[in-house]
Amino acid sequence: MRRTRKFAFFSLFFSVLLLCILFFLRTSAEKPEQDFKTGPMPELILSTYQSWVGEEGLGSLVIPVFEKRFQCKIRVMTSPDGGSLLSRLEMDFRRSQSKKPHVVVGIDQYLWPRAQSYSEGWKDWRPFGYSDLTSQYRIDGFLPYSVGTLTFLADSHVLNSRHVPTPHSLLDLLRPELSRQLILEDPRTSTPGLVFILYSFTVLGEAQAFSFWHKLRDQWLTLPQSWDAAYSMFLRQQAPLVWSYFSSQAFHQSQGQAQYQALVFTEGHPIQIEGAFLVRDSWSSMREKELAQKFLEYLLSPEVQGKVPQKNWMFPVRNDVALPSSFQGIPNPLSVPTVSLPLDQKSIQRVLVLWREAVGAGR
Amino acid sequence: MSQVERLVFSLILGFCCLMGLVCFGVPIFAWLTDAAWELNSTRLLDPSILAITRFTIWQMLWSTLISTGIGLALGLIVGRWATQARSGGLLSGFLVPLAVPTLVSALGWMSFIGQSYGILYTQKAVILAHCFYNIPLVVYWVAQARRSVRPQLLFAVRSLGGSAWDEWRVVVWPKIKWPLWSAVAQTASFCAMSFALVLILGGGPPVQSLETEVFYRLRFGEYDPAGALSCAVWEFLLTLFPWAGVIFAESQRRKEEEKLGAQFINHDLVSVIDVKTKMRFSLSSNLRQFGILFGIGSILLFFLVPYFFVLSPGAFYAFRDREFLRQLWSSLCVSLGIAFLTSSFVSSMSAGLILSLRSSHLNKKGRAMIQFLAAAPGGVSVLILALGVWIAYGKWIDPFEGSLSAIVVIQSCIFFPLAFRFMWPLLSHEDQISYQAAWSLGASWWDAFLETEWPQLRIPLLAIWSGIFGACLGEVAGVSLFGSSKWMTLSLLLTHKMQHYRFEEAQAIAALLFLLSMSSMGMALYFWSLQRKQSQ
Repeated sequence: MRRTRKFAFFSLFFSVLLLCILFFLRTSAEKPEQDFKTGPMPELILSTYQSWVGEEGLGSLVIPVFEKRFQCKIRVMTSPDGGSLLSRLEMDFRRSQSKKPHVVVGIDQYLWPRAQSYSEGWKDWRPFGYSDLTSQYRIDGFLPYSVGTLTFLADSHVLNSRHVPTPHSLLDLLRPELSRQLILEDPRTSTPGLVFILYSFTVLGEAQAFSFWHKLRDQWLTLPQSWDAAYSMFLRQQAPLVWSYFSSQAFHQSQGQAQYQALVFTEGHPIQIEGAFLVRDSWSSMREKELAQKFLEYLLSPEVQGKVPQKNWMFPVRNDVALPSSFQGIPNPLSVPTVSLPLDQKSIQRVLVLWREAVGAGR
Repeated sequence: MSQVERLVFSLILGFCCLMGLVCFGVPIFAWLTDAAWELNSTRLLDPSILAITRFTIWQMLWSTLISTGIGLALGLIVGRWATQARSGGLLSGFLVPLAVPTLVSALGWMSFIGQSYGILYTQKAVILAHCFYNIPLVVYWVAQARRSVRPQLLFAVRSLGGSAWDEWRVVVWPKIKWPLWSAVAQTASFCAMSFALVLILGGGPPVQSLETEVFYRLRFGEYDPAGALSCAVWEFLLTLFPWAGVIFAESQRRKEEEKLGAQFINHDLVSVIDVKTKMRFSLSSNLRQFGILFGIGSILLFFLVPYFFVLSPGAFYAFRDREFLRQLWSSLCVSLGIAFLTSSFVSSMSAGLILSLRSSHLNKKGRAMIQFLAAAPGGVSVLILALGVWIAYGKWIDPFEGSLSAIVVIQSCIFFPLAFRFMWPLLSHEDQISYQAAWSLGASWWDAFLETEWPQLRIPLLAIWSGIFGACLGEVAGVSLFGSSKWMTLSLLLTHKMQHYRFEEAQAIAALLFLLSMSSMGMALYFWSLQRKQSQ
């Protein structure tokens, strides 16, 4: 009896310890590259943000067709947003991770300076159809696939019910009636948020931008981490204004919702070009590199470009693609007065530092 | 004790120390060396980081001040009432907010103040939530201390012509001062390390604390480990004071108790006063008892109301969605698995360490040192520890891919001091008489332990295990850094839903988490009461 108890106690204590140790060892040994099943089918590793491969994202249409057409397997690594996509890549390079993504999809021209050091130069190769693009969209090493003009979208029902005047310029946003009536995205995490601060910095100049941001911190309701979080708050009528795209109006038009209107600002509007790039030192064979290049070309093909308006709700970069009826009346990025924003990493960092100082902490 | 048994204990002690080194020592060392190498005054005195530090201190001071003021007043009232009625169970109810996962509490608060746009996403919302979270804790500590004041002493002061102020100064204050300081230090520490409440109720800049900034600089947007380190240094300095405060207040309280216990008591005088006070209190009618219980219950309920807002009808509509149910099920399995691993690991480590220390015949100083080291993880912010794990094991762990072992390591470090503190009084002294009796009958140390101590330890161990199990389910800071779509715990899923403003689904997860943590807390309390009955 005593021996049985002793045995039971020992077994219980050590089995729990053993179980814990086994789990530690198992998960510590779980390196990402060991998940790969390198069979006869070549594999393309894609790094992108979550909503791109979500049910409604462009990736959900592109990936299966590409896999079938090119007889390959695409492995997707997702991050919550464009910023963390790059952070993850930076970590992979720091950790000298042997298995890096081959292609990064979903960064814009403002994140490109940060990403450039991790990209594979194109040298003599150019994706098919690239030379036909407008010069404004062509950045060497960066393949654009969609473009949008940013602005504030207003819910006229909420604006009227709260007696909030419609803003027509950046400085209008500081009007006391607009206090806690707008939703912006956090520029540290979201690319539209970053574009907003670069836009205000360029339009207002350094000195005025600092005081503008300082005052603006009392005007926004909250700064969500991503565009979709901000937009979902806006749709729940938590605020009548959200920083979004002209093309968001097209989505609502397709749903028969006329109360959502994109606002035109007197200062002009910034544009955002979304694109993809090849990651350097990520190939173990030439076949992988060819596959990655094919993927970039596929993103630029009329087939994928035709799907951009209805999946990404952005404009395609190709001019020869027919737009759906809901995009009629929505100003094309090339037709809106645009504001050119700083594109070098140093200036972007400086603007972010200034913004942090202006916004500070506490309200 | 045979030589084999001594060897087994030495091995267990060695293993526990190794685990402590791997889980806590190495990450903190890696963090400190990185901080020493990478930091410079420009980075440390970055105006934006200083502004966040100032705000963290500001919100910590206000939250602590308000919580202490209200908590002290209510604690004295509740404690005074509690001496006149049987209300021990009700008093334990003031510990309930501690068992509510912070995310659930944040969501409850959002639903509670959701319509008042003037408060949500401001520092007022954060301070209000901190106060509601901490006031019950202060009330509990003060009420427990006030309850232990002997009415005879108050009676003696009055009969000697003392005023109410004299009663407070001579009898009540000396009794409550150290528990109060301990509660104040714990409140300050909680507010300085608060993560989920600031992240969700603050709504981003300008309402941001050092904890949320560390998280942003590592996990979202620009990857800035040096900036995260600067924030972590300030955070470390900020949490050092409350932690030292807790340790100091606790040691003073223990000393005070020992001193009081050793004091000479005039038993004749006490018995005369006893008769008089009994006569006074015998006038308490049933109605008065009911009134007292109703009063304490109402105060308790007032502080618990926001948490019940997660159980809104909207939460139940979310359960109709099949896709959501699938996500919920897989997260539930991950959460239960992690909670099981952590609670088993922590319970066995604490028990193993204390038993092996007991058999190692360490002197008083050695024991005090081990106790101090075991409490050390409690003074370090979870995100600082996670940053240390990130730096130390970054080559082997991909934080973006998620890591189960990192989550278990961090959660074990958070809950180990708690388990150790609860187990120490139970396991640190062996019942020499029973052991001698068993040994004289020829039993080995193990046989003696299994026959005499183990039957009494099973239930408290289960209580500690279930308490930690419940706490792990709602832990959010550790899983925020090392969780991923692969290791999606309930709290992480809840954060995702809230970040995407899917409130119905978030409320459904919060309701489930609330019920799970309440059940495990209930289980812990049940086992604890069973133990009390047994020992009586």
